[in-house]
Formats: sequence, C-alpha cells, structure tokens
Amino acid sequence: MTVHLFMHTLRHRRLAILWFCAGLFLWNILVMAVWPAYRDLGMQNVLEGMPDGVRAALLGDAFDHPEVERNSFYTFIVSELTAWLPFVLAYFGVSVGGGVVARAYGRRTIDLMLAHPITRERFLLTRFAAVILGAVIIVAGSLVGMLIGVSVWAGNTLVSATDIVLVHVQLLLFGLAVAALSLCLAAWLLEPGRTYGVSALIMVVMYTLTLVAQFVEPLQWMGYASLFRYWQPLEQFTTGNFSWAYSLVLTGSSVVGLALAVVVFRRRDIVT
Amino acid sequence: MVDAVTDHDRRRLTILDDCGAATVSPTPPLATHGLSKYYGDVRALDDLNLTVNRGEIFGFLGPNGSGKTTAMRLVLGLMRPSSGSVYVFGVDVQQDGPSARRQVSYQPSADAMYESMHAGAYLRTFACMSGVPVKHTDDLIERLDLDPSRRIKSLSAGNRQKVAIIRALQADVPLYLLDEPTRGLDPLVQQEFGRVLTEYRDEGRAIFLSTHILSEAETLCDRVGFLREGELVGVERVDLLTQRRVRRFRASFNGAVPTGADLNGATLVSCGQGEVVFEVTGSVDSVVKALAGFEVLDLSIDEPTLEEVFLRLYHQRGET
Repeated sequence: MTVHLFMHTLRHRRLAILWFCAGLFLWNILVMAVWPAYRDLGMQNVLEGMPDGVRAALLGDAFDHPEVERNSFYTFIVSELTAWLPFVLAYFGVSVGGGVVARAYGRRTIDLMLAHPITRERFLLTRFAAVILGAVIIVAGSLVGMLIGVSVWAGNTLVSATDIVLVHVQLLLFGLAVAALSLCLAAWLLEPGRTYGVSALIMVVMYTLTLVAQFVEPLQWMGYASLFRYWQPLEQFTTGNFSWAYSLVLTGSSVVGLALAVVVFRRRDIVT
Repeated sequence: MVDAVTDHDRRRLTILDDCGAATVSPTPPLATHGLSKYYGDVRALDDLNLTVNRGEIFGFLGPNGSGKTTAMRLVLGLMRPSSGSVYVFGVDVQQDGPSARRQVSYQPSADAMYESMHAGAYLRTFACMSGVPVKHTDDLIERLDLDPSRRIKSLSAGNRQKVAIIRALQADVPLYLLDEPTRGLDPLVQQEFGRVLTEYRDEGRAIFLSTHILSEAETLCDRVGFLREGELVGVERVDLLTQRRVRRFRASFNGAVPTGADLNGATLVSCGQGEVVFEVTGSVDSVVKALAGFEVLDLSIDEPTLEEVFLRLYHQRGET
C-alpha cells in the first residue's frame, strides 16, 4: 500500500515535477548560451553603475569578493543563474511539499487516504519521500542543463563539474528544507490557501533577513535564521570547498520540519 | 482481528441492547461507547452509544449538522474523540487505527475526486491504495450503469456519486460506512443500489449509512438511529417505526363531512368549512376505505419530518 501511495503521489505531481525540471534545464542552457555575449559587453561598467543595494541584492557579497574577478564567469553565473535557483526550489518546496497535505485537504481526498489502513506517520513520510524524489528530478534537470551549458559555452573558463554537482546538492537540501517547513505548516493549518500563504510569507521574511544581515553589520546574526543564508554557490565555485556545516543545517532543518509535521499531523482532526 | 479479541475486550464490549438490558456481543462490527466530540463549548456529538451488528443495515438519520458525519469520522479515526471510544470488530480505533480500518470501507459525503482521472482509473487507483482485497468492481460498474472510460470532471453529480459508491463497495470488507450514499442518484439507480446493499447484508456484512431522508431509511435499513444536535434520540427497528408512523391528512369534501367517529382509528385535528385535518398512525387502509363513503374533492398527505416521527415516538414512550 505504501508503494501505491508513493506512486500515486508522484503520478499526481508529475506535471509539476516535469515542468519544473524542464524549465530549469532550459533556463540553465539559455543563460549559459548568453554568456559569450555578456562577456563581450563589459559588464564591469554595468555593475559599477548599479545602486549598492541592487547590486548587493543580485550578487550578495560576490561583487566585493577578493577571489572573484568582477567581470568573471562566476559573477555572471551567480547573478544570472544561481541567484534565482533557490526561489524556484522554494516555490517547489512550498507548493509540492506543503501540497502533500494541503492539496489533498483542499480536494477533500485526504479523508479517503486516511480512511485506509495506514498510520498518519506512514502517510506523511511516504508522501514526503515522493517529494524528495521529485526534488531530486528537478535538481537533476538543473544540473544537467548547467553541465551542458558550461561545457558548450564556458570557453576557456575552467569550471569543475564536481563543484557544479555539489552546488546542486546544496540546492536540493535547500529545497527539501523549505518543503519540510511547508509540510509542517500544512499539517498544522491544513487549508491550502493558508498553508501556501504563510509558507510564502515566511520565505519572504527569511529572504529579507538575509538582505538585512548583508547590509547591516550589527544584524549579521539575523541572517542565520534564514534558510537562504545556507545556500552559497559562489563559495563552492570559487574555493571548491563544500560547506558541510551549511549542508548539515539544511538537512537538520528538513529532519526537524518533518518530525514536527508528523507530531502535529498525528493529533490533527481532519475536518473537511 | 476478531479472533484476537481477549476476554478483557469482550468485557469491555458489554453493551446495552435496545431494551436497556445488558448483553455481551461477540465483537460486533461497530460499537461506540460514550463517544463525544466537542469543539470548545460546541457540541458536535454527545455520549453516543450504539452497535451495528453483522448482517445488518443500520441507518443513521438526522438533519444536516446533527453530527452524523462527525460520528463517521470518529469511527474512522479521522478525528479524536473528546471522550469515549469506538471499536471496530473489537479493535479500539484510537489504539490501533490501521487494524480497525482494514475491516472498513468508507464513502464520504463530500465530493472527493481527482477530476482529471478517468472513472475506471480512479477506481483502480483506490483499489490498489486501499490495502484491502477488492472484488465486484466490474459487476458494480455494470449494475450501477457507470461509464468508466469518462473523465470524472465530465461526469454529472449523479454519476460522480456512482463512482464514489463503487469505490467504497468494491472493497471486500465486513463493514461499510456510507455517508449519504444516494445523494444525486436517480430512482432506478437507487433501487439497484438498494439491491446491492441487501445482497451485501445477506452475505453477513454490516452497513452503516447516514441519510436525512426517512423514506430512504425505510427502504434500505433494518434499524435506524436518530441523531439530533449531536445526541442520539433513539434507535428503532424500521418495521416498528413504519407501524407507528403518523401521517397527517388534509381532505376537502363536497357535502357531508366525516366526524372523528367516521374515520376509523384516525385522530381528528381540525374540522371546518368542508375541510378536515386528521392524523393516522400506522396503516391508512381503514381510513381510505372510510373516506370512500364521502365525496372527496381534494386529499393531501403530509409526510412527517424525521424529527417529528422520532419525537412523537419517544414522547409516547415517555408518557407510558
């Protein structure tokens, strides 16, 4: 029965997974194809002409990173590609992760699912397992797109395939952390509108915290309360060091979120 | 699970029968003991004690919002009771929900469908996911006249209800919970559905269905319980209920008007200007024959509401 539930969950989110995967794949290819033209434009001047806030929002501290040549391929890849990827994964995490419960509740099919001989824990974990597989497929689409794009258009710039893979591992962990958070909210709130709304609000607050922490030095500590803080592709690209600590934080967030979701959902009255 | 019930469980399953006498039931398909559900101060269900026996169709009657669906959700463990307990074949739903639900198939009143799926695929999907044996699917599709090749979103309300019913009845389990199953069905399909339920009952299965239509309960059920504002007013056999049913007649006459004495066994409610209103308990045969002696211009019969039937019945009991 668990296998059927797992397959059923995947089947019902197959279009979302397919479109996310294809979209990221094509977007990565498209962005990489733009690189040669971008390189020839002399983006240094464009970047310097930007207001500080906009530049920081787009690039984080990449612009001032001593190891990064400003007009480099890395700056391009961070500003045009990896800066957007966590938003896509956050959207996926909220809609599909939270949707595991909220969507079924909204459609009233949750009654039928839970009327079967299955525990709520198993129900939630099985469906979240399907979300994990979906996230892996989506991130794989992005990874393949970036690998192809780099190999075709990066020219003489040396970009390690391992770094690209590790950046995507971080991306996957980030997406799953958001999904677990949204699932936890769904287990508590049940209604899809409220679940998606509150999840999205939390994402906005987290991103704002990241920005504030970047701009205001005394408030740097606030950045650690945001999941966005733990997505650092530039560091991976430039130093080649995988941030185990950040990955652990993201993994821990997923586990805690999932555990909380199970605890809340076990005791929740289902009133559709 | 039935065999696994211990003596301790049997003692706990001691229940009061309809006459108030204590009896020991060997693991009835469904038994509730003091089952209550409150939302803060709002009472959804209060102290529900009932049993559904093997080979029985039990109708749960009551107006909308009376607590029928809440009771079903509590039986399935979809909600946690404020107090009391539910046993399905002796298994406490709160203690071991999956084991209890392995014996049950449920049809909710809400329209819970995957719109883009074909009806046949929907039935197959739930057959796989339900985790219980499945049979009769093709037979039910044929008998209830459903086209399984159509997408659910293109189906009428009645056909969607057929899908919901088949999904529940295709499970080969000893207990069915059906929440307003005939809603939207045309009369012919309702009849066939009734025949299916009767066959299931004759095979020894128990069916617990809710409805707010008395005539439907009369047709389908062996016993009925009436729920009002979360409280079980009473449980009655349907044949007894029919015998004691009171109908209100309103008749207009040309010329002579019958008196109370003329109307055999009827109770005169009002009389004037060529119109008589009277009530008949049980069979109307003698009254109709008595009316044949007069020139009747118009005759109407008011069906009592469920609540009236039950309240009258239990009021009479209280008086006696």
